[in-house]
Amino acid sequence: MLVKKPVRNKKKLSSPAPQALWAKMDGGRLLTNESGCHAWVSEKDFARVISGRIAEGDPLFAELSAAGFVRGRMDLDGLAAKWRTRNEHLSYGPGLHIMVLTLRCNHKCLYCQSSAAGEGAKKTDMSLKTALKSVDFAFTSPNPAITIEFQGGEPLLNWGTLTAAVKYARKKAAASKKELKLALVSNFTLMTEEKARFLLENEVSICTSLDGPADLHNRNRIYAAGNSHAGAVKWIKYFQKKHGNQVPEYRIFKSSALLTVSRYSLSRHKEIIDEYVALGLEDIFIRPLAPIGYAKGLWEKIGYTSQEFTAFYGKCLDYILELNRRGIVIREKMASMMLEKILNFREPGYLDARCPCGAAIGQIAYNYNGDLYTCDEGRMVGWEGDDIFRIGNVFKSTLKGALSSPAARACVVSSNLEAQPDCSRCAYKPYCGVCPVFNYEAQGSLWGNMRSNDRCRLFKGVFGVIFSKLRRAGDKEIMEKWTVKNEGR
Amino acid sequence: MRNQKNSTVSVAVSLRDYDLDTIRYAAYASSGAAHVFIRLDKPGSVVAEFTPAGTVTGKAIAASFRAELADEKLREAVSDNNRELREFLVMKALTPEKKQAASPDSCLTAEQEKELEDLIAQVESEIKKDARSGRQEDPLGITKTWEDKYAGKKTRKK
Repeated sequence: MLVKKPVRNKKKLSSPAPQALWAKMDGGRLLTNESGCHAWVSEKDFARVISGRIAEGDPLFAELSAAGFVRGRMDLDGLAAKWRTRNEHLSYGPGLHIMVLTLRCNHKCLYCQSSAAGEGAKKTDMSLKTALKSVDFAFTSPNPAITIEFQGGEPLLNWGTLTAAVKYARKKAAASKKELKLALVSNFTLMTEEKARFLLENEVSICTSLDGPADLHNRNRIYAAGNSHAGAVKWIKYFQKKHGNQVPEYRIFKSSALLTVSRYSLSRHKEIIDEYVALGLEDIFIRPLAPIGYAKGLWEKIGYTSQEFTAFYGKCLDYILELNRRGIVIREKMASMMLEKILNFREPGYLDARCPCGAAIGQIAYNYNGDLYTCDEGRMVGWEGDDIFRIGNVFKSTLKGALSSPAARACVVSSNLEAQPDCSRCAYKPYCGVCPVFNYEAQGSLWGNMRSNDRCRLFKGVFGVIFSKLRRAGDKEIMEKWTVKNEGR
Repeated sequence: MRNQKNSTVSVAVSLRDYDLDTIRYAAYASSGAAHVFIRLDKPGSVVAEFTPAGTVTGKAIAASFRAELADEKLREAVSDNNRELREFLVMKALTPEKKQAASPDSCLTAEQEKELEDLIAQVESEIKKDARSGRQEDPLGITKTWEDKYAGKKTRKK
């Protein structure tokens, strides 16, 4: 490909306005650009920056020129390298493969986004043949690092298929010399010593749901046969202990937990975070609820506005930073992933906030019957009777066919931020992403309308909180350490 | 229908002051609060019509649209002025960096090439070292050229 040199950068510019997007923040402006660099300026300085009046010798010159906000003094190689690193995933192909081993679940969670079926609905179990075929399909991806995530429903209800898929995937990885990560998302109520041993020996990382203290957790996650919270806590402790006593034969990963924020969580941020700290969990993902699946029908009861979530998120981050100052190790996952983009110009594997979004090109969801979907959310829409996000079937499709299916292409086009009128002008564009499934479910079109889109408002709120914290030297220092830890993942 | 018509607010915008893209983007910013319809008015002018879809009044939406127009004009100008530069940066980022290619007939990997180069460098360094220490003896005259050895000798006649 021929690279055309920019004439304007070398000659005297007719208008020396720098490449910049901006947002009003804390009485000044946040500037960002395509490479992912950012800077803060006062309103007065903003006018000077935009009119290209920042010259050598100006107190702002060094900082702004290093970040690419001074035309004629841009490190083009460096800025292009940052863009390349941040978008490296575009040349890899799908890396995350979500296998829905069953739709059966022994829980009836208020917000269930997995569209689970009753415990007796065995017809929604993935067969052994489908599971192995799905593993084969996953390994046709050109991505050198494959992650297979076993989900449900409750995946432990289909234990036989799970173990076979794990063993087969390990063999495939050895033969193909690809890096393989295996992950299980379970509510732990069906976990036994024997199952735990198998998972540890086969290096399957383990994740569960933990919504906070027992009363809150059990209110959200209804388990008729017992205490959901007690089961989760018991096995988190078990896996934490195992992680602390590593063995030479295999690596034992630290178990992790996912928090889903319902309306009931909004007034209890300290208790929730304290629960995670007490269990020795070092990450907490303050995950907002989406009006998809069962949650859509119950939104009035358990949902909230983006402003309510942003306020909750701000309080959580304040408290987490306070704990860090006291020497307690705890990170907020969404912040640490965004910081990876903002501070290190790297893509942390957060498929919801990519451009284009991770649908099909970054991840594929394999339904119990072998149907392929752009993502797990797309699969849930399919379970409700609308197969708009179906991209093929493991028995009939090739990867190329699935990725060039109308659904995959529509998701790529509609989640391209350059084509979204509001996003193309937004200061958070270098770090953000839209979700065609959310748009479709909440607004009736893949493109949606960002000005009335709650997910957009929510992300803007979260970015606002994160950037505000980054302005304070003490908070920034702590948050930088969160990204250093990312490097050791 | 009449109610809807009554609540609709129209704002005329001159195309001499703002281009159509600027007007579209600015109007989009109000699309969360109102249904927007942009139509050509007289030559050189368009009318943006806002029909409130929620609680925000038409008057407030019109005011917000006017403010947005000025902001959008600046964003559009900055975006336009940098289009070529942005495209250049992205193209540069997407273009693979040139690597020193191995000669077409070598069939060696980059790693093997490097190994070979290291080996050559090592041998050359040893030769230089030997030359410096005077250990470079050549009793059979192997390093001499044919001319050095035989040019002065007469050929035997049969």
